[in-house]
Amino acid sequence: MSNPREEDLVRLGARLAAHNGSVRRPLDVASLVVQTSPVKRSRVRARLTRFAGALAVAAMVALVVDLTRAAAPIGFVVDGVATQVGEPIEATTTERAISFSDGSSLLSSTETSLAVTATSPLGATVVLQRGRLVASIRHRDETRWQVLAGPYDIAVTGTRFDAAWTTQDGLTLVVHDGSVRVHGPGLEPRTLVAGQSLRVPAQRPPGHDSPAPEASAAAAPSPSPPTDPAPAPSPALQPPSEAAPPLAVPPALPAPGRRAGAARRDLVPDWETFEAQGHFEKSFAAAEAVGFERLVERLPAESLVRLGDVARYSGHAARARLCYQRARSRFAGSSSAARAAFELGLLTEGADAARWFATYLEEAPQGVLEREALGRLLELRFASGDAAAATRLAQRYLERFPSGPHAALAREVLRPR
Amino acid sequence: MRSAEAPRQNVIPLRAEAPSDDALVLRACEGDPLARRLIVERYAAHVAGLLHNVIGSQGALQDLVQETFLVVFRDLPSLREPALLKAWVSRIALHRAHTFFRSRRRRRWLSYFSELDADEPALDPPAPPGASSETLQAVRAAYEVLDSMRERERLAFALRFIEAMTVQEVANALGVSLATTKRALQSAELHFRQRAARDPRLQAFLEGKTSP
Repeated sequence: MSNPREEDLVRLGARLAAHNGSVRRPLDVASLVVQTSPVKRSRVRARLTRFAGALAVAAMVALVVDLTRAAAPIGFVVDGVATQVGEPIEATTTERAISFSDGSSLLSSTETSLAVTATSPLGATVVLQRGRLVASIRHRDETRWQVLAGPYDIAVTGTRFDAAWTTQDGLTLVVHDGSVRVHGPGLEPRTLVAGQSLRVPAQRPPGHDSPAPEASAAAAPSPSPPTDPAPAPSPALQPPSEAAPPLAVPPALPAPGRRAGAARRDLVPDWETFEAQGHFEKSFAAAEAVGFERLVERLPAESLVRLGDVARYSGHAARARLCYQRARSRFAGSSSAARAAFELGLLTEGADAARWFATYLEEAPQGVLEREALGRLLELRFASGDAAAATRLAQRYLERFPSGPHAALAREVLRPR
Repeated sequence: MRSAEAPRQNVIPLRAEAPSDDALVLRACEGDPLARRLIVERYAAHVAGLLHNVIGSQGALQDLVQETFLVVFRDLPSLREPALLKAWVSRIALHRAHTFFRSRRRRRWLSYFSELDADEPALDPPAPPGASSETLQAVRAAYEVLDSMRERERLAFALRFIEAMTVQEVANALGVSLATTKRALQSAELHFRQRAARDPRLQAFLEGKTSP
C-alpha cells in the first residue's frame, strides 16, 4: 500500500489521525438532524428572502430589546418566524406553533384564527377568534397571561389547557395542569383546576331555544341567564374527580364546527404526525400539551423512544432522559430498551456515557447501532487512558468494521509502541 | 458494568440488521425523517473525522459537517448509486473543505495576510491523556506546513497519509485523474519534507522519536 520512501509520512499521518481522534469533541448530532431537516431549511430560505428593510427594523428592535432587557415584553415567533403583535395568525389547513421567549407555547388547530394582541414582561394577551388552541404557559413568580375566547376571559398563571371557541359551539375549556380563572356572559367567575373542564354552549339570541348542556361529567353549567333563580352547581367547586374524572388521556375537545362527540384523534394535535414530518419543536409542544408525563407512562416501547428523540432534537435533554430511562425500566430487555441505552450514552459524558454504550453493546451485540456504539465506546476508553479496554474494543471494531469511521483510531490503538 | 434497569436474565440479544445505504437513501428521498436521521447518525462521525484530519482544527467543524449534510440531502435524489453513499458524502465533505480553504485564503488576503483567523483557532488544546507537549508541538507544526500548501495538494496529502487512503482512493475522492493525484502528492510530499527538514519539531515526529 505504501512504498518504503513514504513510511515516515504514513507513520506521521497515523499519529496525526490518532491525535485528532483523541481530542475531537463529540458532535452535536441531534442539532445536526434538526438543522438539516427540510423544515429548518425552508425556514432558512424564508428568512433569507425577507426584505432587508425588515431585517434592519428587526436589528433596531433587537438593539432596543437588548438595551431594555430587564423590562422588555416577551417576544414570540410563529412557526419560527417573528410576528408582529396584533397580526392575525390563521391556521387553515395546517396547525401553527407559537413559541414565546419565556418558554410558553401555543399550538393552534386547523380552522383556527387568533392573534397575540399584547405582550408585557409578565405575559401576553391572546385573542381566540375562532377554533381551538392548546396552551402551555410557563409558570413564573409573577405571570399575567390572558386568553380572550369570544366573549370569555381566561386568566392564566402557569398551566396547560385546551381552549376552543366558536360562535356556533360556544366555549370549551380543559385544564391539564395548574389552574385558570374564567368569566364571561352567563358564567359566574370561576376557577378550574387540573382535571376539570368546562363547556358553555353558544348564547342564542332572545326567542331561540336555549341549547341543552352537554351531558358529561365534565360538562359545565349551562349558561344561566342572569334571572335564572337556580344556577347549575359549579363544577369548579367540586373535586376534580367529580368534575372530570382522572382520565388516561385528556378529555377530547370539540373541533371547530363539530359537536363534542367527535373522535379525539381528529381533535388533539398529534405529536407523532409532527415528528414524522420532522417538526420536532411542534411535536414536542404537542406532546407537552396532551401531557408529557402521561405519554411517558402510556406509550408503547418504540413510540416512547421516539418521543425521547423528539425531546432531544427540540433541545429538551431532561425530558429526553426521562423517556429513555422509562423505556428501559418499562420495557427492560426489549430492543427499544437497548436503543434507549444508546441514546442515554449520547446524552451523557465520560464514564456514564461509556456505561450506556457498553450496555447497548451487551443488549444488542449486533444491533443497528453497533458500529456507532462500539466506535464511541472506543473513543471514550482511549480518552480515559484505559489501554486494556481500548485494545479489546479496537480489535472488535476492526473485525466488525475494518473501514468504519473509527478504524483509523482502532489501528492507532493497536499500533505497537 | 450493567445498568440496574435491565437485569441480565431479561436481555434478548438482538440480531436486527442495520438498514443498507440503498434502503436509507430510498427512504430519505421519500421524505422519511428516520432515514435522514440514520444517515446523519451513520456518517456524521466519519465526516467530522475526515474534515478534522484535513483542516486540523475544530473551530468550524460543526458548521462544516452541517453544511455537508445540507448538501447531501439537497442532492440526494440525484445520487445514482445509493450503495456508494459513503464515498459520495465524503466527496461533498471534501468539497466543503476546499471551499473553506479558499474562503479562508480570501479572508486572509483581505486582512493583509493576518497570521490567523480570529474565528478559527489553529489547533485544539486539550491533549489526550499521556500526550506529550512535543507531540502537540509536532501536530501544530504539521498543520502549519499543510496550511502553506495549495488546496489540492493539501487535500491529497491529508487523504493519503492522515486518512491512509491508497492513491487510487485519493483520486476517486478528489474526482481527478490518477496522474493528477500522483503529481499533487509528489509536490505535496516534496514541500512537506523541505519544511520538515528545517523544523526540528517535525523532524523528530517523522523519525518516530516523539512520544505519542
